[in-house]
Amino acid sequence: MKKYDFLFIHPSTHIKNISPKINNIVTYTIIPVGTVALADLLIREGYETMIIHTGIEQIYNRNFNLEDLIKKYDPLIVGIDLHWYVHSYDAIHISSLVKRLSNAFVVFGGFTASYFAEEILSNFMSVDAVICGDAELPLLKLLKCKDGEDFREVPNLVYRSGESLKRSKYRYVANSSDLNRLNFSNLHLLSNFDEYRRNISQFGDLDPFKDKAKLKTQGWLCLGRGCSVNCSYCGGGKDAFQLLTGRREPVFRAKERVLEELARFEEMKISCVYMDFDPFPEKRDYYHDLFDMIRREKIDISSQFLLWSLSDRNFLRDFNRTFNPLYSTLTLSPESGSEYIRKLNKGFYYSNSELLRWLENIKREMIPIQLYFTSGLSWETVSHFEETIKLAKRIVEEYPVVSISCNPIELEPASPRFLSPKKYGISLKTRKFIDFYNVFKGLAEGLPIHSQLGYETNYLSEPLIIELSQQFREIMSSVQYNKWEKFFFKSNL
Amino acid sequence: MTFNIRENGFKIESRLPTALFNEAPFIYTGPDFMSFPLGMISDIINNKNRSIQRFFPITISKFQGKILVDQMFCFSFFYVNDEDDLIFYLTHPFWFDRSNMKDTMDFFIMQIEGFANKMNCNQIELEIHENFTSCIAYPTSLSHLSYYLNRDRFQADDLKFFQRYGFNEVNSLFCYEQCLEGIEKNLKDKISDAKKYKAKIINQSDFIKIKDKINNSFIKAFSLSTKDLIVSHRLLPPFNKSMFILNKKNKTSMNSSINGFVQWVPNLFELFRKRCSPIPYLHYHNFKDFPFKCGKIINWAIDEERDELVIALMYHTINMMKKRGIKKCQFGFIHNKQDFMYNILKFCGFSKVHTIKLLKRKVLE
Repeated sequence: MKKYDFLFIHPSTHIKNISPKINNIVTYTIIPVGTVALADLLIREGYETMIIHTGIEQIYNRNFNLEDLIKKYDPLIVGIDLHWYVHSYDAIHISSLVKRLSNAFVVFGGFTASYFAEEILSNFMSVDAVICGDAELPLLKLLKCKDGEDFREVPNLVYRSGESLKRSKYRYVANSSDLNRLNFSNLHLLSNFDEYRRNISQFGDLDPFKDKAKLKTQGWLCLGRGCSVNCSYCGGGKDAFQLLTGRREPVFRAKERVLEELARFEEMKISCVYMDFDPFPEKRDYYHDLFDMIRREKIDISSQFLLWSLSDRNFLRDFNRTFNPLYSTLTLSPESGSEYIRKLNKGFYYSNSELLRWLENIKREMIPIQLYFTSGLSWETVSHFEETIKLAKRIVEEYPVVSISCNPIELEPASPRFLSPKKYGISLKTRKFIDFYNVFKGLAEGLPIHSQLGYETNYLSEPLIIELSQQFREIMSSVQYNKWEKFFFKSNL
Repeated sequence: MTFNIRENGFKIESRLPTALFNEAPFIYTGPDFMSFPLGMISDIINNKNRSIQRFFPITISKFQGKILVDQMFCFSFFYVNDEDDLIFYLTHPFWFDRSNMKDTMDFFIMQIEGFANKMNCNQIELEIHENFTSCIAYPTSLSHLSYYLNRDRFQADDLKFFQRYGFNEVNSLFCYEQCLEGIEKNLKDKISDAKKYKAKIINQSDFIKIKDKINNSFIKAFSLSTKDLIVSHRLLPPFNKSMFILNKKNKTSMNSSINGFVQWVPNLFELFRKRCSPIPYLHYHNFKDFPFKCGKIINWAIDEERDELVIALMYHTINMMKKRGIKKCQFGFIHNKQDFMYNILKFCGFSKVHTIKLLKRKVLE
């Protein structure tokens, strides 16, 4: 039986529905984009490795169980990504299984693990170490350590040493040339990659997409790391990056490397590439150059591009002539219809009139848009949320919106709101890792949970925050319906 | 439900490749069109107490080493015909690569037969485009996905190829074309006949009611089914003066006196052909002022074979098209058995520009 040096395991989040009529859900299924690059790096260094996506395996192989897999591959080290807090329970659950069935060394990584490293290691003996921040060099060093010796030399590592915890004094922050040496497109290292590219979308849930005809396949592109601003709710902002990874400024990958990866995506029949890295909206030269290169290389792919702020018309034109329009969309998150609230919470501010002018250009350029709003922002009142509904209604009625959503803003570890709740006018109900763990344990086991959001604001209670988002979705659904009914039955074109 | 089967170096999966839109631009105007850019469309078909997924975009690809090379794409869907049978319908398969046609087809047939069987469906229908000699206006298909037909890509010998796989021709549908000026010239002496009928512009709701109401004695545009609403009612926005009924002038009440109706649509390919969007309705703001040059009659019906009725229908249609600046008219979905229509259109100077061949194949159990 093949023995693996390193086995990456992605823990999907499981939600058990209490009602027998509703299926249980496997959700939050996107793998952090860096996982593939890490696995590829290990392969190139001569280590045997692969990535297991527990959600994909469960859905497509009814007989799948992790126990058999661990016994079969008998890995030396198991790496479990705990980037997003939603995997808090499932990541720990998997680590316990691994420990029970093997002698593998278990290491966690990702933002949530980085933030809660000490707490995780103190409370869960199934986790041996946590890599805080960038993991490329630390993983290689870790593999070179024999039997847990010399962990001191492994940068970014927090580990257990006897009864105490130790943090390596060496810091590793990947720079541009480090990132350029990575290959994020070796997706064949992911078991059942074929199902992943077809079935994972930004919608999150992994179900067999009952009654939906799947048209596109999606790939995630790494364009760089970091951020230049701090949004109140974001655990991946400028300060969070510095705290978790030591990174002070955003770093871009070389366009040539990105281009090579796009070409490989095209070869792998990935029809749409997800691009979510836009830290300097005022200066998008990088993208104009990259788009130009994509056109020159005649790479035929669609793009879901997430703009972190508005763009000029030139960008829209460039986007339009670069990507195949089949599945190309632009995504923007105004978050609130209230300019006051947007200004207080978002790192990149734009007014409503600027937003509407941008949407006019979107209409002229015929680009489908996806919009995200939210409820529960700091200092937001019901009246501010009414402005959100008013603005969203207008946008749906007048512009080419293919998706508009509103969900309560989440409580991300290391976000400004999480670190300074009082300053941001919120009260936390979830502070520690164990709180996140218990919430997702409750969800996985179908038990009541003490708080769904983990916070309330000075102006809005938790149930009200949830209700406002629900109201938004109901109203927008009816606005969409009326728009198209009017179009098909009352318009005169 | 999705396809994803790998066998003998071939793979069938539910996927619509981006290359298709480059090589054979198309327009999708079916259910859930808004979700198209998000990469999934949904619709359910109910038949004999079962609900099943309607659409299945199928791509067949071949492994060359580790690399997948797309061979063929087919937009397929289920519908229920007037005999209440479940039919698996295939649009004209688009060949990305014609070098492995036989092997690809062997694999494709085996897979879709197995699939149809699993769905308790025992008939597969296939549409093939032939003999297109002009720019064929939207819609070019009986399905909701219309290709901009290009001779290099939809080849004439495809028909023979599929016939070798047991697909038998059951129907032919024709599209005719003539410039408005030519129609007017030919109708010059028949204006008095045409004026015996008045045209009444109707709205979408009335049009749907009337279309549902007219009985089978009407001579009308071919449709796959009258029972399955998604197939029988093509989702079209109401262009100004694009739907009307014809009444003999001495009659007054609306429903009892309908002698015919027409629905025409500007050629949406003129606006969307240049690769800008597969879903025109999302960008409907552009419709109103766009100078469309070609209009296509896609829904039509007459209560009996009377020359003057068809002439009236043409006369009123071209008057309405002219107001929109249209220069050329196409008349679509005429069945090969509707010789009467053919003769009048010939008289008006129309010539045949497109044939859709409908083929059928029994599913072997």
